[in-house]
Amino acid sequence: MNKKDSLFYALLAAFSVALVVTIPKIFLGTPSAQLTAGGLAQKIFYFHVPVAFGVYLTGAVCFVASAIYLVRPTEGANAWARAGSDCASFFGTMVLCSGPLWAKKAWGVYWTWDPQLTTLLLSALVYYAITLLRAFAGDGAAERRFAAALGIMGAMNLPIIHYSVQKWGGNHPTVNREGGGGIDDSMKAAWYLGLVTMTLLLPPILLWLRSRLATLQAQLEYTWQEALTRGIVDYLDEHETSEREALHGAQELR
Amino acid sequence: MTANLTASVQDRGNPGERSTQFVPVESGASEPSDAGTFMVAAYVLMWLCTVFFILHTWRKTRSVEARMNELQKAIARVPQTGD
Repeated sequence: MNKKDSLFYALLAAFSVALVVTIPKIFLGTPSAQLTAGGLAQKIFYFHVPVAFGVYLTGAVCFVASAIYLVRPTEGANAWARAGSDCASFFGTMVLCSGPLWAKKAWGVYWTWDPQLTTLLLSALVYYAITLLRAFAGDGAAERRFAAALGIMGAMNLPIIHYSVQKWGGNHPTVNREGGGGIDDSMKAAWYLGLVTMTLLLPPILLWLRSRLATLQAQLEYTWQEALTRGIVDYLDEHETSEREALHGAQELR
Repeated sequence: MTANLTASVQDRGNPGERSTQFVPVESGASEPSDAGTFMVAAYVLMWLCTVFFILHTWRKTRSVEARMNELQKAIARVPQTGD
């Protein structure tokens, strides 16, 4: 096991421990909030907001790696840009799954065109577009550049999501922001645990896993190209059944 | 009970209103009965998303690694026909 693997497993262990501590703390050790904030459903807040920060974090990783890739294309930058957009899509989905359930109890509706909801939806759609582009349009230089450009554009919207509440109002809570009254001391432990678990520990784990996958997929593409260049694919098509199946399987996974 | 239900509907926020602070309250009769269901549903959805994402990534990584090994073996075994 190398140093990077050790760090990954340490992060995974820390995440598992944090999860075991956080869940009971939220469900059993933290009081409900006032009904106008959703009552018992307000406890969704302890993971909902940290995963929204996960969108910012992984979107920022996608932005930086995409900018690096456009200036100086490398496999590493491409892998991190791809991992960043995949993870931002994932965290965006988490926010969009949990938010409406909280909104239903706090506001009486699952969805409203609140500025923060709308801008977050737009960002999520940009990251879904990047993920779909990379999944279905191939992994050529042009597709990579296009995905990197989209990754930069997607990040432009992230500060707008955060500050839309102050600029355009809406009904999103402003508890921990300017003008907000904060959360009660009895709720702070669950809030900090949620932040540690879902903002500090989960994003690096997922980014590591997805960047590794992206690197392997790129290597598979190069190996496939090598096989094509050397005429091995044609040769196997004519001769060896098992290797031919392996090649066609590799083609599907590129 | 009717009074409690009426109170809970009146206490609920409406679109256009926002919370600026979270204060603890005693869970009691005024708490809507399905609030817990919504909370559990949200956490279950989030955890299902996470487990699916991690498992999908892990399985795909294993699959790509296996295909890569097979492909490299095939390349090593086949004579260089392109030369």
